[in-house]
Amino acid sequence: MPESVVKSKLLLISLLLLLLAFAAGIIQAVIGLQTNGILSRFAFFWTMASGLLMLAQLTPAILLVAASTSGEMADEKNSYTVNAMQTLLPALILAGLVSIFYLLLVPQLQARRNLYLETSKLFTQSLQAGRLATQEGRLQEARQLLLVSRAIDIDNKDYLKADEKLQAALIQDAQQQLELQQSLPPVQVQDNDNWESGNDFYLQAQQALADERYFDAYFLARQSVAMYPHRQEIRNFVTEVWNLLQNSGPPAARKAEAELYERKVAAYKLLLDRNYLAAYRAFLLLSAEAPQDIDIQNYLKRSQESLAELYFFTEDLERAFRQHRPLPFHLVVTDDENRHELTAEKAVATLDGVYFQGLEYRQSGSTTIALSSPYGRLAGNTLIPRAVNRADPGEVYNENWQAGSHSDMTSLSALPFDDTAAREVLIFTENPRDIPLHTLVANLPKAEKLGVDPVPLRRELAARMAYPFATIMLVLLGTAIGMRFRANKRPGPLAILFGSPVLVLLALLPVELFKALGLMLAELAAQYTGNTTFTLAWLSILAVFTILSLLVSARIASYQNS
Amino acid sequence: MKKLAGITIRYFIVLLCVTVFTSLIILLSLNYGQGADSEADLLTRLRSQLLQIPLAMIPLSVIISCFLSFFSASRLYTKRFTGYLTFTVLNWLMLAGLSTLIRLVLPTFRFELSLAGGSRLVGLFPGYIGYLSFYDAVQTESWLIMLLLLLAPAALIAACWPFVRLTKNRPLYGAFLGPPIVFGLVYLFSVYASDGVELLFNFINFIQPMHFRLAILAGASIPALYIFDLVFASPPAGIRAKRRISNA
Repeated sequence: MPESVVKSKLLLISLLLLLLAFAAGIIQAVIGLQTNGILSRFAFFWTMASGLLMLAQLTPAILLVAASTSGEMADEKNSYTVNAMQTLLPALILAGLVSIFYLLLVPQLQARRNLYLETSKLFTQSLQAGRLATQEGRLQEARQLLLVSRAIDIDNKDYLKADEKLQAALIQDAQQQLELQQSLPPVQVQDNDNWESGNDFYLQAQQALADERYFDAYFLARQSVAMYPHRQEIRNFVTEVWNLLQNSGPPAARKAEAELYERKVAAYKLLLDRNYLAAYRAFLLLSAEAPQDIDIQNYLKRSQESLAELYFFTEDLERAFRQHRPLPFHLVVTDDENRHELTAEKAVATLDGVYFQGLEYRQSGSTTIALSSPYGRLAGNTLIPRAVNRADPGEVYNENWQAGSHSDMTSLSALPFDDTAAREVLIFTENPRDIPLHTLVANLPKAEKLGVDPVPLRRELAARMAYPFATIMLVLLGTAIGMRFRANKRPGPLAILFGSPVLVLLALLPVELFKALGLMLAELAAQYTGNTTFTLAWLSILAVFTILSLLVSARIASYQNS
Repeated sequence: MKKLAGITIRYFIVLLCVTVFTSLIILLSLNYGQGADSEADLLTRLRSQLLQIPLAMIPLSVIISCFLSFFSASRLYTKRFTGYLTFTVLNWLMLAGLSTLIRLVLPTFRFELSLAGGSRLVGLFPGYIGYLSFYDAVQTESWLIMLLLLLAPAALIAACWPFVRLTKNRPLYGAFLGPPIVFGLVYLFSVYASDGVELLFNFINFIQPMHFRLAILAGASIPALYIFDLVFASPPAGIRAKRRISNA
């Protein structure tokens, strides 16, 4: 290890304080386990993540205090330059570690911690609602609710108890049903085998008659009489069926077939006329009546495919909104002739496109288009502002074209933006802190073109770029403060161990102030520069402030007590 | 005399730097040119705020520069009284100068209104706007009363000197304690100017306007801080330096 690292106490004190902060975070997390309702299977990671996040929160103040203590303990004979040089290498090591920690680990930890918190809350809510439903006898609902809890933590004791109660309630309910059935007057059963066989034939004959299969009905009724001739009602039935057989016209099945065929042709005509919604409705009805009919299934599929050019299914939208977190949406694109603005109350991106709720689209310029729709989908560069319920095609959501607007669906099929652009807008709509660094860097130049305010994104990037510089500034300033306020006697290990946490707490407020000032400067830089100049401008500001902090530190250190 | 000159110069340099820096940040964050103002309106607004915002930042700058000068005073002065006197006079000169300037040159100026648009920087000091209302209120009094009332906050700021000299064995505590005390002092002033204190005064049937209440409470806090200095704080380092020299 280089001599400067050994001589400077910065790394050692930083490590000690970081460990203390981690321990404090863990203790706080353990205390908060119960109040936050964290499940036992998440407890370990939750505690560790909380410890590390506490560490992240206190790291700037720890660096300042560690550097101060290190400066306080530095050799009195040395000048600030010598001490600063000794501190520089450990400071650079710390800057690297801190930057990696903040850039790569902290966002992941934050996300996982939030996920565990939300999942634990969902488990508890489902469990409580499930218990209540069990108590109130809503057993099917209780089963559904407990399934949610089961999916999250199958081995949880509370879940197992609640499930046990539910199973007991279900058994009790089943017994009650059974008792109810048993309390009904028993069906008279004939012991005679012939009676039973005859009765079976009789029942089958009745079914055949209901299906208008008169030949079958007559044959089966005759079989029944042959097996057990003592039942008068069956003999009457045989006579009745024979009369029907003689007097009836063509079989009803054939009539139904003919009718079905006619309806198939009508639906087919609708498809040929490009009336896809009506065709889909007709084929859907036919499909329910004749699920075995290959023609109907084939054309139902085709009408559905054709319908997808003009409508999408609300079922897909609902699934998309269930599976992804919806975000507000606003996209602006300007091409040579027009300005296109697409806004939505909520939007989610899926593999098959971007779905919108509360959609508004405006195009101004050479062509004016203004429409609104309850739902919409952007797939490729085609916007579909119409939706239909797959199971009930009568439930249709159409767009409203505003008066004076060019109202032609083909104008929405070749838009100058596509679902990829919409996905990028959705990425930018996230909290900038949640955007991964590589995504932020790669997509920032596109933000302005898509009508997204680039200032918060640039501010976030500025904050992330500042980590290594801030670390070096804190160490330089801390070393100088330590040298300036050097004690007459070097503080002992116990004084450092017990005094440093107090200093960290005191340093939190000024560090927060400097952080806020830094963010304000970053916002100003983001506001007054363009995409190309922003990075350069911000790096220059950081460099200037690092040099300034070096000069100020040298000045502070020059007033040593001794 | 040389020490006094050194401290005074440092005090005013820090005051100037803090005022300019904070005012610049506030002015730049006001989003000029993004509203619907015409160019003429914009220029008028900019011109008025170029003067108003630095003026509104001076009371905060006085507190910050006084605290930063405490460290020099601890190193240079040998007597507590000299330090208190120096800082009380410097603070009072700045605050009285500011109020005089406003009374003579800008009679319609209001501190609270100049920062009414809000700024995240001011938001970092909870209660600062409330504290500023004191400086608006003293403008309604006669010259003599105004100058006397301003003496109270000036002396209270100066009386916080012992906090940076709190520990003899480890002066680092004083250095780290300073910034939280600045925040605390601004908050304390806002508490003194608050309606809660008015209720308290009304309860004891001692009805006074807000600026008088603040001055009375600030004045009452000063002796407490002086006693705190005598009991807990270490004497200014100048004493030790002198002793060391004499021992040598």
